[in-house]
Amino acid sequence: MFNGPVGSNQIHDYNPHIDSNGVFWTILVPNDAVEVHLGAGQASFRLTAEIPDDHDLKSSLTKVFPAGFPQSARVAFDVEWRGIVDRAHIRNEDQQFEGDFLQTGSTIRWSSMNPGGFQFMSEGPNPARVVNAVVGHERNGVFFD
Amino acid sequence: MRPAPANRGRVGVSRRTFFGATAGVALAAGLSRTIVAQGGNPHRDASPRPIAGGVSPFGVFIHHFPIAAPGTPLANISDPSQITDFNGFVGLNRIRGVGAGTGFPSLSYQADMGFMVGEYVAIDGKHYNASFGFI
Repeated sequence: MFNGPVGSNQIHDYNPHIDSNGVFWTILVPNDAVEVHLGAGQASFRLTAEIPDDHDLKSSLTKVFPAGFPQSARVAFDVEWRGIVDRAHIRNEDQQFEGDFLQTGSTIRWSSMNPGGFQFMSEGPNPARVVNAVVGHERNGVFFD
Repeated sequence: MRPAPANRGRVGVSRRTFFGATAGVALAAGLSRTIVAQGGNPHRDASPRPIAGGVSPFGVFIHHFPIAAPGTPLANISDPSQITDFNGFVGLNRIRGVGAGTGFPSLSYQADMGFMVGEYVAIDGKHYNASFGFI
C-alpha cells in the first residue's frame, strides 16, 4: 500500500512471510476458500486471515523492519479471475512445468485492519485495474515428465 | 482437507504441521480453532516444497516468479505455482488499484494473489491434497 503511486512511499505490506522451507508467501487455506471452474475461465479466492504487515517490500525481504513493524493485521479479500483473454498449453523444460493455462481478467476487493487502529478499504471490484492474470491446471516437479 | 486416495498410501495434511512451519500466520475464525484441536504427528511434515526457480528483488532470492508483464505471450509465462511436486489448479494475478485508509483519503496498492489446489508431495515424501493461498 502506497501513499502515492505504486512503488513510491510504501506504508504497508501484508504478506504471510516466507516459510522456513522457502515457500514464498503461501499458506494452507480451507478448501472452500478457493473455487475453480477452469472450463469457464473462472476462479475465486476469498479469505479473512491474520497476517503480518511488514510496512514495505524491502523490509519484508531483508527482514530489517522500521520501528513498530512487523505488526499482525487482519486482512480480508475477495479475488476473482473471470473472462478468457487467451489460452495456451505450455510445456517448459527449464522450469519443469506443463499445463493448460488461460489468461483472464481479474478483480479484487480487500480490506485491512491494523492493531494501531489503521483501517483500509479498497475500491470495489474494477476489471480495468488488472495488470495480468492467469489460471490453469499444471503439473510440475516430480509430476513433470 | 481432502486425504489423497488410500490406495496410493497417502495421508491427509495436518494443518498444525504446516502452520508450525509458518510462523506468525493464523487464519481467522474456524480454521485456527481446528488447528488447536488437532493432534498432529511430530514425525510428519506436510509442508510443501518451493519451486526451484525465482527472482532476486533487493538482492534476496525468492522462490517465486511475478506474473508476466502485460503484452507477454501467454505461452512465455513462468511457472505461476509457488510449490513444486504439484499437480492441480493454479491461479496468479497482479492488480493495481486505489482505496482509502484511516488518515489517508486516497491510497494506491498492488496486490499479487494466487492459489494452488490439488495434489502435492510434501517434505515428508508423502502425497497430500490441499488448498494453498498465495497472498
